[in-house]
Amino acid sequence: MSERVYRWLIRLYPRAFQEEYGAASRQLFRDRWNTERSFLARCRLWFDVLGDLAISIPREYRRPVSPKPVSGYRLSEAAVDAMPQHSLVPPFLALLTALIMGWLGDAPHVPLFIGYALLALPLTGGPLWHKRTARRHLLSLELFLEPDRIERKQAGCDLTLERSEIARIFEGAGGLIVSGPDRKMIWVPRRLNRYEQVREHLAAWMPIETPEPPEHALRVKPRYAVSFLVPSYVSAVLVRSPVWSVGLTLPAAIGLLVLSRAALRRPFKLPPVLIMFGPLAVLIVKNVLLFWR
Amino acid sequence: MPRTKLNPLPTVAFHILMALADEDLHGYGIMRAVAELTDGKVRLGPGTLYGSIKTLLEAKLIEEVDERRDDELGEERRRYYRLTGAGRRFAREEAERLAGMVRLARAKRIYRGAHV
Repeated sequence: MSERVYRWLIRLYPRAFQEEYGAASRQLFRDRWNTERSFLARCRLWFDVLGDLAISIPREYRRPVSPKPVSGYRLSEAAVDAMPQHSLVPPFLALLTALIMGWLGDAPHVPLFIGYALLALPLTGGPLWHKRTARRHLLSLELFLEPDRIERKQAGCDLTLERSEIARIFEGAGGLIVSGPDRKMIWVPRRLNRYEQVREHLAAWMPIETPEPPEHALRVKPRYAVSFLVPSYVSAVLVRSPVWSVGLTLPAAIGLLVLSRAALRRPFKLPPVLIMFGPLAVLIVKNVLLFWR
Repeated sequence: MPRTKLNPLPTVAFHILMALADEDLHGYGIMRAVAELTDGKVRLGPGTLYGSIKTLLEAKLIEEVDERRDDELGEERRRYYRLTGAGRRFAREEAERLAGMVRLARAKRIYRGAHV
């Protein structure tokens, strides 16, 4: 209750002060409230706070307005290091699956083995490459908040969204996503310095949605999924000779990768079992049927 | 922010610089340190504290270091502040100015306390 009253009192300060130090002031009040527990101590706390408001509010209104009311927000190196890393288990499982498929399909032909290994490369190479460049990319991120716009500067991927063109703001485990027209999006990482302040600023623009927890599925770039899954299923059905297999799957993989790069850019979710074990299951069923015949 | 606003340095700002002389502190840490340094005579409220911090930041006498947790106070992340080289020099000059005033008061037999 006391914090609610104090939260309301902070609204008496100029907007710039509220945005910059409102959250920190509430935190300080909360800290004192939690450590000064006796009745007398809390009376003294309120006495201090009311006196402080009487002195500091007029002073803040007299403070000259900064000519450029822009704040920069960054990720510190410690924050980037503490961020959850992408797991390399799924791509390595995919590679293993591809190798087992190569061995089971018409084993042990070297061209077939190489073909499947090549098929798995986009899935394994992507995350490895991402891991290498992600840190540098994250450290270059800088966000600027102004009264009616948010701007991202990040290693050449600069983007500005006006408040009027923002369609949705939602918050997930990794932070906030500010979504604009034409699939433009600005990510506000949860580990950003002064994240709560950015969140409060954006919450004043529109309600922040909190979507359902994500399903147990892999978030895959379509081009990787298409270039791996389609040739894998095709070859799992057709494979009897290494010539057929490599002859079909490699051009198919390259062609589909090229086509899907242009057509499918948006990540989507796929059940891991479909990626990891789908082609393998098809292959086993086919071999059982062949054996039966 | 022109330094003229800090000349002479307001008492609250001087206390904040003194609190940050030994270690980086967050807002509540500064408040507690100032209370300890002044035997509880100065208890900074949030508005006064952050107003002064803003002025000192603009004058580059202190700087924001990063956000991290204070294990004593729980899970919340807090902004930490650090005294800059310019801030240390500025605080020293202010201390010398105050010492000069005390010497003057002693010479005029107004003050009879410890020598500085």
